[in-house]
Amino acid sequence: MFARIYGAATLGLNGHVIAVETDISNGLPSFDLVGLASTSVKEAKERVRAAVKNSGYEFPMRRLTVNLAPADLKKDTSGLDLSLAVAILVSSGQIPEEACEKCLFMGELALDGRIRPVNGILPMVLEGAAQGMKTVFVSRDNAAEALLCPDLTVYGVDTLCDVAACLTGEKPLDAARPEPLAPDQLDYDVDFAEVQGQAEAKRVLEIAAAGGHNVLMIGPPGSGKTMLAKRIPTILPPMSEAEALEVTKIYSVAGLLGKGRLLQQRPFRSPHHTISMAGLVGGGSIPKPGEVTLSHHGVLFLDELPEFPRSVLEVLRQPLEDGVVHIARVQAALSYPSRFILVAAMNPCPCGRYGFDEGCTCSDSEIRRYTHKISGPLLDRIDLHVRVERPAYWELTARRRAEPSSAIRSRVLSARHRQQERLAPYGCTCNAHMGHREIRATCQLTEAAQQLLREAFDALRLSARSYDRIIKVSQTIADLAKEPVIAKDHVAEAISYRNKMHQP
Amino acid sequence: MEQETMYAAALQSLKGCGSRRLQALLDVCRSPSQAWGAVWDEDLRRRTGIPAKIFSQLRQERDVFDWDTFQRRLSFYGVRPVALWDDDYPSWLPFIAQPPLVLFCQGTMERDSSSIAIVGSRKASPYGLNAAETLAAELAAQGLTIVSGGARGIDTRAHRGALKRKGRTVVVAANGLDRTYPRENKALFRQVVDSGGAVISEYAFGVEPLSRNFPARNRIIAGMAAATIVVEAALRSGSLITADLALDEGRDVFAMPGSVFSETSRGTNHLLRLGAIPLTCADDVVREFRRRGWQGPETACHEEGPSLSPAEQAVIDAIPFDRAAPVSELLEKTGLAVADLLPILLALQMKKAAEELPGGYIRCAAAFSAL
Repeated sequence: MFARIYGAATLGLNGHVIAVETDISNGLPSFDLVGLASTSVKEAKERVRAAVKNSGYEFPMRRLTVNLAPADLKKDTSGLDLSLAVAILVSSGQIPEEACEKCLFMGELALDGRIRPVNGILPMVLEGAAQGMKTVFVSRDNAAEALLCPDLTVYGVDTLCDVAACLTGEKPLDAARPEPLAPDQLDYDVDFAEVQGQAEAKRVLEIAAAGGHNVLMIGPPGSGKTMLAKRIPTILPPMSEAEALEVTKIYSVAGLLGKGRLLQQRPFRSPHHTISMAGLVGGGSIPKPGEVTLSHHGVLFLDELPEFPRSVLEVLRQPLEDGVVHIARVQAALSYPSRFILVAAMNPCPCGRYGFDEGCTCSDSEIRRYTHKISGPLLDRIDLHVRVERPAYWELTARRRAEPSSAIRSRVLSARHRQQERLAPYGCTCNAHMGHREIRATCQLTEAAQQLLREAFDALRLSARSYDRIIKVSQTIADLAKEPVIAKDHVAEAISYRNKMHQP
Repeated sequence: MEQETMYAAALQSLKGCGSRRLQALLDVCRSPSQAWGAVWDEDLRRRTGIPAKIFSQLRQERDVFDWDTFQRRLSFYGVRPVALWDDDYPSWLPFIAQPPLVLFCQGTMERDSSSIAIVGSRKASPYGLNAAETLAAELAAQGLTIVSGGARGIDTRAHRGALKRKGRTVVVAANGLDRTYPRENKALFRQVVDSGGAVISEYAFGVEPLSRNFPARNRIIAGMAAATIVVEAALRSGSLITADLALDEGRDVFAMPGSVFSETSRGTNHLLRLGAIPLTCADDVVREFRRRGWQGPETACHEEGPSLSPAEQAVIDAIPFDRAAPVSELLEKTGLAVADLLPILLALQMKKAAEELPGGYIRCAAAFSAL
């Protein structure tokens, strides 16, 4: 007998509905699985056999053929186990086929018939709903995540028995309801009020948050670079609905979505400098999202930038430029979104004291070797460069509380608002994403500002590449100041944040 | 005569033939062309006192010497040999104990009778760097030629200061002129040559900047200059060797006093104790030169500082001369907000009243003599 049941798999960030077709015919008992199944899907045969038997149902001792359609799509998930088991039960007549109409089954089976959660539920249910599915069966742990898609009836189930009993009508289940839990709150356990002094660095981070600019902080060890970076998410504007859904999808696919709630906090990723190229941009025979994708719409913090292997840093260039990474492997070529604010921190020299402290013990060539580990093209994509000094003692002990993150965030929000209004026709959301064309069309400089820019180019020997960067940053500074045009002081401040990597 | 210079340059280019052996050859053979054309036999070897092994090596080098390649390389690098007997050989140099017979020169050679050497540490403090550049600029504006070694630190800033006021400056290198040491100064040396200065060396093409070349090079720096200024130097340093060499030749030595706590001023303070002339402004040098009968133009040493607005003046007053002040310190001193202070600092930089260093901002001593 033939049956068709629907499961789902993910490829990249997209869900795909998979039709699981089973046929039972007379012949020697066998179990054939076709349709470009990966090893984890092939192993499902053993899990399904045991789970069906241990749930008190009969596993057909006849010739059993299973096809996973579309047959040209590589399936690499254990989440097809449940649909496979249901398909066998349907085709062997133990469950009526009508009951499974417009149902989506997702879950991994244990040998005793228990159902385990799987990754990537959100993109799969979204795709299922788009394909006209009405009901979805998932592990109880995945139910909350599946409920993020409002168009589906979600059943959170524990065992294969429960699924079968529900489908045969023996024991109907209650549909899962969204918990009255408020979505992920925007509460951070850190705040800029805890950072004393560091006025320049704070100002730079405010500009970065307001315009989405990348930042490089240079300073001696213990000057508070990491402390500052950790607080950047607290001043970023909250994510829009669409952004939140996109980020949640990424985390769902990566298996990092803990509570199955829509993410509200912007991601903050801080990979260690021993990270591999594949770990940073994504990789694997079927590429998985890397750190740049996990920090999409958020912050990617690279501490000790020169310690990262140069080859790893170079692959950052494409995501920084295009906001997307294309990864091509033999099995699949995928694109992952990766629009993040890069925040990098480094010491000025190997010993960390050059320029900040007497007694730097590094030779000129050591310092040069250290700073040259970061290539020019990468530095060119960093709009804001700032030196972070060790705070003075009186700053550390000051009674006056520094400005809280909420105050900074309200300024950032109003600056973002101005940008969105101005840039909406061009499809950008913030100043950092402007291209040359958008800059020419939207950025207006006063006569004095233009003259300063001209003079600064000669006096400070600025490169042509830095021209656009300076205008973008000065536009953000003008937005923060609520000025419609870029004034001289805005340009001057932006020039002060240019690349200061002194080559001794 | 030019013929003789070429022969001397060719002899100098033979591997193993330094200034001293070249001199020995010339003492015996009277002229470079005769030395080149002589029969290099055992008799000549004994009279010049060159060891047999080196002598045979020199003879072999001479026998295979390729004049075409030699000429081509000279013109490729824009190098012209200048010998002791030529008119544009530096006027002070012949009087030292061992003057180089041939100098390989890029750029314009002059007699440079009013020249001054500015030397100092490669790892100098912001104070020394600032002073070296200002001093060189003011002395160059007086028409003095600034001679230095082209090394990192004080030397580089001295050359740069001279160029700033369009003065003449000479780099004395410790390697063949087909290479540049330190490499990052390539652009600076080209600028020196383009602006009517010179890069010179007694070493032929292919000679690396070996450590043993530097003391020999320092004798040329001290020897070319009527007086030597040591800006900053540690106790055991090449700059003190240069000062000693200058004293040996009877030239004046100026030393710039520094903090008694500063490691980089130990050497200069030591020189002062020994009787060097204390240098506190460019006028100190000019006065000394005039006392010796130098007829320079009667212009004021220092340039008028740029005109500053009251806000800029308030900020510049908060910036120290002798170290880099971090932004946080300037914010504290001026009471300004970051967004207000940074544009002023940029304006000061563009007016060349202040400069940004890795650790913050330092005030440029636009009027060193007025201190």
